[in-house]
Amino acid sequence: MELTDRDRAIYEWQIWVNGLGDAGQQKLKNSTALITRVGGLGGPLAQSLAAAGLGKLILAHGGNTKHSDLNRQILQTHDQLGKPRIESCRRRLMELNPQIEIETCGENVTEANVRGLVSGADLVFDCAPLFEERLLLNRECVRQQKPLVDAAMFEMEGQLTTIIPGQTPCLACLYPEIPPGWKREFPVIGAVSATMANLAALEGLKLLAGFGELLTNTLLIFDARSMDFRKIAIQHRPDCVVCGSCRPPGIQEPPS
Amino acid sequence: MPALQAFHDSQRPLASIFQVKITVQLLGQARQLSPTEQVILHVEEGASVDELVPQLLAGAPDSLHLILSERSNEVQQLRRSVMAIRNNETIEPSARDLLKDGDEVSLLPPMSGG
Repeated sequence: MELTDRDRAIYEWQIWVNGLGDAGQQKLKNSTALITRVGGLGGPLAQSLAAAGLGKLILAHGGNTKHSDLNRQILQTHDQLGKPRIESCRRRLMELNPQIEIETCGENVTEANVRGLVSGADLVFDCAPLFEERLLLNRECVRQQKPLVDAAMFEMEGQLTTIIPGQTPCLACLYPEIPPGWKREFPVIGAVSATMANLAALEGLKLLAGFGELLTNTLLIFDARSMDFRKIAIQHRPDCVVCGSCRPPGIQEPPS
Repeated sequence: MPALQAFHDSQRPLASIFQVKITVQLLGQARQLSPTEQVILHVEEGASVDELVPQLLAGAPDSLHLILSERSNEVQQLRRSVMAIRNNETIEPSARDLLKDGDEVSLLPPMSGG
């Protein structure tokens, strides 16, 4: 789809960005991103992608809105308490940008739905708090050769990397096991998760529009206490069960 | 961990020509579980990150042991899910002869979505 005059009017200020331009904006318009869990990370991320004019968002998020969501899940509202989170995500994003298409799934990522969710997307954003979900999504992205932007945070720290199957380490290279004692509930200030979300959104916009440098083979670590950013070089894990023989890509078929 | 640092300091030999000084920085969940975010260790030249772990965790709370370490053949080593970073590059925890005097090693347990 070509850009319309209305598109140019709405996205004028970002079309001025060097490297983005009309061509980049058109790529964004013709792109689809999957965001799994649309909470403290996924919510602000979805908001930034919607505002930037991504053509279609696929959102997967289960459960109903709780009081304890409201400090960081900025797509949720007090009048939404007790109702499905995904409804509020759709409503808030459509208010922000009615031009885009939104497909919703009122479940978190599972073995049963992961293939279909990933297959419909050009780019996947992993914003889930549970390692089981993240590693499942990573496995499917490697299998389908889809790029994955992985953002995570804990307390006053965050991290971010962009995974391109066959070219970079995958998430299982970084986390070969589910860490013991991990709890779904952990310390989060909304501004920290939103910072990581917007850095992830920038990675996605650059990747889809084709400009700038990506955090490939690199882990960005952000320390909100000291306001330090560090870039860490990361490597494939030769014995990785997901992408260990993924050079060239796609050799190892993960279990279906 | 301050007590832990004092213990390490008391064990330091007067002549440490075969030892190197490594600053270990704890990140993420490990940082939250520890009263101090960094510990200075004096270890044998050539030591691997795995070999730092028993010293690092001597006297540390069980919760920190659980996050950072595991046992393999009765030897305490860095847990596989924890990333070892030397200065600004990840390194294999079992590799010897990589750590140099004055290096900073960061230990990063996994973190997840918010």
